[in-house]
Amino acid sequence: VSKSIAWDVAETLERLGGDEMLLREVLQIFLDGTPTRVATLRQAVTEQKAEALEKAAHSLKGELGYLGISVLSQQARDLEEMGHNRDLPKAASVLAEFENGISAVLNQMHALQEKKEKLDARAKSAGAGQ
Amino acid sequence: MNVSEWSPAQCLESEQPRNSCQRVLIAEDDAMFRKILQSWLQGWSYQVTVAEDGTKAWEILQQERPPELLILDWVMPGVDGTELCRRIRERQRGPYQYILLVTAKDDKQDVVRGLEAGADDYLTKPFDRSELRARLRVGRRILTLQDDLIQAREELRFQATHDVLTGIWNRGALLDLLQRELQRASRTQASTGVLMLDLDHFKNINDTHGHLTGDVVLKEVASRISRVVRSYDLVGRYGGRSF
Repeated sequence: VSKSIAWDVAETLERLGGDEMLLREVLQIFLDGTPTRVATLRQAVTEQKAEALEKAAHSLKGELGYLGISVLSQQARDLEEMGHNRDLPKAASVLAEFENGISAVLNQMHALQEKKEKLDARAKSAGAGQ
Repeated sequence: MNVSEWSPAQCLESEQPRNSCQRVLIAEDDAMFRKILQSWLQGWSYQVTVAEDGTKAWEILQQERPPELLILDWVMPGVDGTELCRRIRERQRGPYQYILLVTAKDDKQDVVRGLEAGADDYLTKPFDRSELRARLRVGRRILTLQDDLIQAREELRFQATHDVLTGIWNRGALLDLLQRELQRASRTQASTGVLMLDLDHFKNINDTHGHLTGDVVLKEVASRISRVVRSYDLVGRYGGRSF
């Protein structure tokens, strides 16, 4: 993962007002929703459906922008615009790049989620042992 | 507690109950933004209702007492943000609703169209927590001003047609109402009953006990007349001691 694509957890947490609980919920929502949206993007590009591309890319642009993953957000924005302008020839190459980036980010998020869950479990068993 | 914050308790404690100042509708199709907005607003003691699309939002706005602060996403399936704005502004009745439109940063044209469609303010995504908080306060200030204006207008309307001392119709209003009743009666060939009541020796009361006591008597007379007539009869003060 190149550094510019990586997700800055601390920055997102700060943006959310330092609410750890909310961060987890937001993360879960993103992890739940993103694979479907990426699949929609892929299908839209394959089937040359500009409107579907615009819509899915719009949602991804917004969420990635909020999470501060600006490179991917920008790519999603490019895809959205291609969909809007019904101009899909370059969409496939942008999408390929986007898919690489997003899978790296999703992996990073999953890893973080697992780490937090382990920490929670440890804190819980430590609490129970007292 | 931060003094500049309104809490539910403060809302209830203020002279006029301003429950409306904290009821917010969030119309946002993106689950993540919906969650973030809901969580923040609840943290700031707002009563939050959420809608996942414009159609649902429009349904909620048909309720008896809909929220008065609205955060609407520009892009939504079904009814979108501007269409919602337009529909809300087309309704003439009901209290004013303050609309905060949420758009993506790069949609400057959307902002203009949104404001023209009737939005009061806008917020760009990715929105900033403290900015949202401040903009909501602005909205609440406008709504409070609106409430005050309506109240002042109602008070003026009352004062223009009622006698200051007794609270019953004043001479001007009474003559207007009488005129209307007479016309209605002549149309239906019916008769109209008019009573002119005058207090005898009222000057004695003023002279003996003072004008303040005289006022008490006038008030008592007005209240007694009002009590004995039927609910659809009209009672007013014609002049000094004439009813």
